[in-house]
Amino acid sequence: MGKKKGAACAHPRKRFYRARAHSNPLSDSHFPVPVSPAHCDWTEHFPVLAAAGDGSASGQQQQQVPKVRFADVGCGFGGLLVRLSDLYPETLMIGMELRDKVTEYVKERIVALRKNNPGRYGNISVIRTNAMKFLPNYFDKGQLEKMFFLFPDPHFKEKNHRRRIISQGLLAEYAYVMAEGGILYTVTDVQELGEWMKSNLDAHPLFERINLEEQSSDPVVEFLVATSEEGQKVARNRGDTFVAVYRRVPSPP
Amino acid sequence: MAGEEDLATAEAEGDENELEDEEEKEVCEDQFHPGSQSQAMAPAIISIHPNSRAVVVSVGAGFRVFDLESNEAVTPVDDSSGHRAAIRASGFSHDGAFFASAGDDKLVKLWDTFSWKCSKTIPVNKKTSAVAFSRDGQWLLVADKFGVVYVIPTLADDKSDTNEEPAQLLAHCCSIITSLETSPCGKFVVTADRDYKIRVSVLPKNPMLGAYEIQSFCLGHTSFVSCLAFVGDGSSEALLVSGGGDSTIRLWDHVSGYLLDTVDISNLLQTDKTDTFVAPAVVNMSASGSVVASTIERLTGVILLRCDFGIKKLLFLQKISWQEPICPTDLQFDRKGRLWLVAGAAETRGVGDRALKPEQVTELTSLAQASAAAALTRLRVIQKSPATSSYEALDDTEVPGGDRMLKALQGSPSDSSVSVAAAVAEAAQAAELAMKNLLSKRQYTETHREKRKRTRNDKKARAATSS
Repeated sequence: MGKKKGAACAHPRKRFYRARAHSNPLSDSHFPVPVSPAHCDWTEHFPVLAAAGDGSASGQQQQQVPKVRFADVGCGFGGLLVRLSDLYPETLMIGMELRDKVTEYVKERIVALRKNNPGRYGNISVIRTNAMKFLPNYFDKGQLEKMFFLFPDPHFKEKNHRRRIISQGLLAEYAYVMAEGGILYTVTDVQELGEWMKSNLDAHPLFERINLEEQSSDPVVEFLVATSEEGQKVARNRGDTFVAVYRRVPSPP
Repeated sequence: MAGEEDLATAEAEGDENELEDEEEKEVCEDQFHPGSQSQAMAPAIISIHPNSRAVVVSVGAGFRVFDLESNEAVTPVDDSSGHRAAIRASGFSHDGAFFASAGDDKLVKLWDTFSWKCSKTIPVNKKTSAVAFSRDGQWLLVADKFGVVYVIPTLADDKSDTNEEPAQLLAHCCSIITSLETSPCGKFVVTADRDYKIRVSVLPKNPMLGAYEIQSFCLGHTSFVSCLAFVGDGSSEALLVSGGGDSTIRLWDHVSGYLLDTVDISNLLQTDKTDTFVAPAVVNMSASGSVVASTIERLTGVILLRCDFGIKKLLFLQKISWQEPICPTDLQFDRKGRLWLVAGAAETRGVGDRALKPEQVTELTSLAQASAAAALTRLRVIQKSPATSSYEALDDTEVPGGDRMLKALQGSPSDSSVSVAAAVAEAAQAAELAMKNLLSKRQYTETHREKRKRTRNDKKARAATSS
């Protein structure tokens, strides 16, 4: 993580943002959730939007206002977003994280990065929210082009399997917010979870596994493990990772 | 919403919102300690046969059938002696061949509407909160309090291996589903939940494989959505109407998810806004053609709205209220344009997950059935007067089926003695309060939340050491 000596803005230290790895996704939320995507104010997240859309733009101009296209569900400490920001500088990306302290950390990190690197990192941000419950509150139908599920909570006990982030019920919601042709990335170091996610995605009619050739030529795939903090931990311990990448396909006739 | 921080009830009912399996255990303990604080009151619900052949009032664990053609009360026949806990949802299939009942005992019962025999009893995992049949009558959809909708075939399929395990159709992530409807065109299934959301999903030809495609979300309510109805008919004109805890009734184009109109009920009722004013929630609704009837919290009557398909708006039609201090708990239009309203409630106790011996089951069932048979309800019928062309509540002497119908469905003769009215009013009020508590989100303060986190496991530990 950022350890720039003599930086104009010091990066946040992780040790002050320690949080338990788990947060109960089933409990009632006490953070504000937008009533609908139209009610969601993205301008506070992305400076480029604050400059462009101040309500006085014409209808045509409004349509050209960029929308969030990538979502990192359970973004943790923000490693993937930071890396993807440079790879797709024109694309707006959002991280969604349930844990309060971790979200604060990512916010501070992005603030520091923007200050230390003028003109960069303006396209990434983070929201504290429950993606399992409120995804349609933030995104319109077919809005997202990429969704990331990196090292999700395995919920080992069978009675907790219903809390897993990839399930038949939730895949319908992910398919709703994703555009046709959009890509969904999953990676985990837990083999059983990898098989679970793969079999759920295989079973869902709106997702199709991308072939190996396409997967190896996708520039994002190599970042899935290397950039996230969980992935780096796994690499250090020389664990195995299980990657599954799927495309959102049109509804079968 | 005001008045949410009722910490006393929060402690007792808090676990319901947390959606843990603890809930079932707590409820189960209560029923084996009669005399302890009873659980919520379950409201009376009403279903009318599509051909107006019969009227069914369900209160508590039992339901009462009145056959309008033969003018006789009918006793349903069930080999397994009926439900063990309150019926929370009921409905007829669109051709009237089937009737379904389900609720707190985690049993879904399918009934033949000619013989009134129970043809199937299907156990489900969680308490049912809503039921609906697919328009072709082949499937029964059942929604539970954890946000899952299951699909059950109505007809026995000789080809299949008689696996009657309900299949999951769709899921709202861990949110109580309050209402479930299929669109008149038969293409969509609409579900509303406690988290302010309405979801329109495509109903596939084989629902057992799951509703994998979502058509739209109708987002706009700022509190729980309590009820849904479709206005219009099978032609392309059908639109979706919803009511919620935010005291609004909204009109939607369900295909696009677009909000067409919002009617603010508290403004409509123009009640005096005192300091402690809480906007009344919309409790229930029923639609017929372009007319929507809706029951409102604390309103001793009903509100009628009309949908203008030209300008795509909801217009106020009429407000009907009566002298009796009774708020209806459920309502339904029949296909002859008559609006039936019922008020009443009965105690409900959950059955929990503990495996029961057959004698215990029989005892439970007969207790529940006795309690249901003793419950009183009040029935009223509203009809459009041909003379004045406005809706009027019919006198007890003018209702279809007359005195016999009222006796069969109300549980008492129609001569209004004050004590009956008071009992029904009290019960209905308790049921309304129970619904409100269940669906409202509790806004705990930060300190109280931390305290709950710290003490949550104490209950489990105490239960473990005492058992």
